[in-house]
Amino acid sequence: MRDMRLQAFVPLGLLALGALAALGVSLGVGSASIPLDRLWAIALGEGDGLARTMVLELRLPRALSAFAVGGLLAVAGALMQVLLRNPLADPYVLGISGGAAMGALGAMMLGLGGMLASTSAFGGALFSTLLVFGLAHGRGGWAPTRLLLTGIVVASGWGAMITLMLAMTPAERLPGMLYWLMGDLSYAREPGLPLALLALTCIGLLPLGRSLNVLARGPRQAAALGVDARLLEWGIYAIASLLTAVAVATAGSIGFVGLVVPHMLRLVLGNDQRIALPACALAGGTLLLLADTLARTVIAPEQLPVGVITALLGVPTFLFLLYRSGP
Amino acid sequence: MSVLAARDLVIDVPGRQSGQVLNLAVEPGQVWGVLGPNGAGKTTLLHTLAGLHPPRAGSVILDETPLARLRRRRIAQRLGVVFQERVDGFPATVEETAMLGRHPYLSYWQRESAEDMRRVQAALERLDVAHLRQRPVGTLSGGERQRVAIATLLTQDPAVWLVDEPTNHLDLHHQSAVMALMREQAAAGRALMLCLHDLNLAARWCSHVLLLYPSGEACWGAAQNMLVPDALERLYRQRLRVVEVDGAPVFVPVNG
Repeated sequence: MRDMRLQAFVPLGLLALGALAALGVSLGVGSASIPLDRLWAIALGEGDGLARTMVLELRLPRALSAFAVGGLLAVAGALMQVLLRNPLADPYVLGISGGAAMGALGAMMLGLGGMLASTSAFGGALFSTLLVFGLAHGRGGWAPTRLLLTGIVVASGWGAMITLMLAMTPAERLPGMLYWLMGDLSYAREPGLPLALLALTCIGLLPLGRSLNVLARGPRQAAALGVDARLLEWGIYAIASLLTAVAVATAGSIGFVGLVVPHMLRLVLGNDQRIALPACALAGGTLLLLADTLARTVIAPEQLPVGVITALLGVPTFLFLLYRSGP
Repeated sequence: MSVLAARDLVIDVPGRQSGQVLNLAVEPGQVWGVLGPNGAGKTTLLHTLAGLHPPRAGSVILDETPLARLRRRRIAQRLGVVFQERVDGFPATVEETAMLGRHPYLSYWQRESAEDMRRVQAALERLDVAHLRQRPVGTLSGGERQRVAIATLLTQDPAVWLVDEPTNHLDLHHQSAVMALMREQAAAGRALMLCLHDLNLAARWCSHVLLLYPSGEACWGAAQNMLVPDALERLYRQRLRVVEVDGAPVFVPVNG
């Protein structure tokens, strides 16, 4: 039906335009501003050496990483919310980010950095996911309340261990660890993997959108309507964990994107996952891209942790939307 | 020829040692009523017949094929369920909810067509909820939500209808309207099985009745043979009086 297509494409088109605009802003501003016409020239392969290097080798990889991480977190959050049929679920609340933080900080405490810390974070995230979902998986499936409770308890366990680690770490290593805990994109130089994963996920989930809509009515109702609920639940769970693990391994633990973005979009666009999931990817990416641009320019040349910005922007926006949509 | 059959079926009710072996066949055009006191296993039986709850023994046969050998999607094209409880995780409108009934027929890449929309509209009108089309389901009354759930099943339009308490939350007028819809579906060649609490609805609308005792015993047959005061009094452990209204028996519980 034509009007349904239109309904889907107008918001997605607008969000895509917004993402492009955010990319332009993010590439243009910084220690040296580059106006739009020169950005365009660089994009066409012209322009002078210094500006070219700055845009293509410094700002672009970081901007793309920010976009990819934001998108991954938002899609992961949206998937977990469908899985648990609870708008409170997100990688943070379920303790996955906590496990990743343990992995990364452990590596950092031992003086390992860069790639090893990322790998360790990835391992921590997967371990925590297995722990939470494994413990909460009773006979016949995941009871949402039980899963949320398990996640919250495991997350606070990780929190305590992180505090303990910070207390035992020599002072000179603390700043790096603290930045990682609050999310930090300044070392994100390889946007290829997260971007590819985001694109693949969005395309792969497109045909499953309607099944996810049915699953949101509970696994039994979904099974009665022809969905292999068990298989779909495990699939979502695996994908959401992978997305989160890649996101935190790239940029540290960044809160609020996975919780706020899906919820905001749901209030505006409704609950059709065929629209909501790609919209989450675009809006989550845009949000984190803008937040990271702010983080590196507000008190330049110093940088703020991007997680602080997302929380400072996210909390009031979320409360406002929630208040306005109240019954 | 039966469309749904239980073959040597023993349903799995938690805490019950044994249960009677069920061998029954539901044919197109029949309306079966499942009667029994609370906890007798009516809902478990319905879920087992839908393939949503594994039986302790035996099998359920849909169109001559054991359910266990069919994919969920194929089952959902032939058999639909209305549950007693409903989950709504996220807000959805009445129209979106009824549209879920088309899910079994659409392929992964397919979007709902104008024909699907027409079916939804017709089902909503039939259940008297078309005026609520754009309302979030969560804001409806219990009876309205029950009608939306039945409209979803009507949109799904399966050959076998399994309905857990179709008249739950409904006012008198809509109770009659919904039961009339059930009989109309049977006349159109569907097979129906309904869990009921109201003996009089069963007496008035069902062609066949299955009595399910808390002990696990069961008996079934044509409605007029099953709905006799002795059996029913034993079933509910409640004394009954029978009066006749318009040629149909009406059961009234009495004290003592």
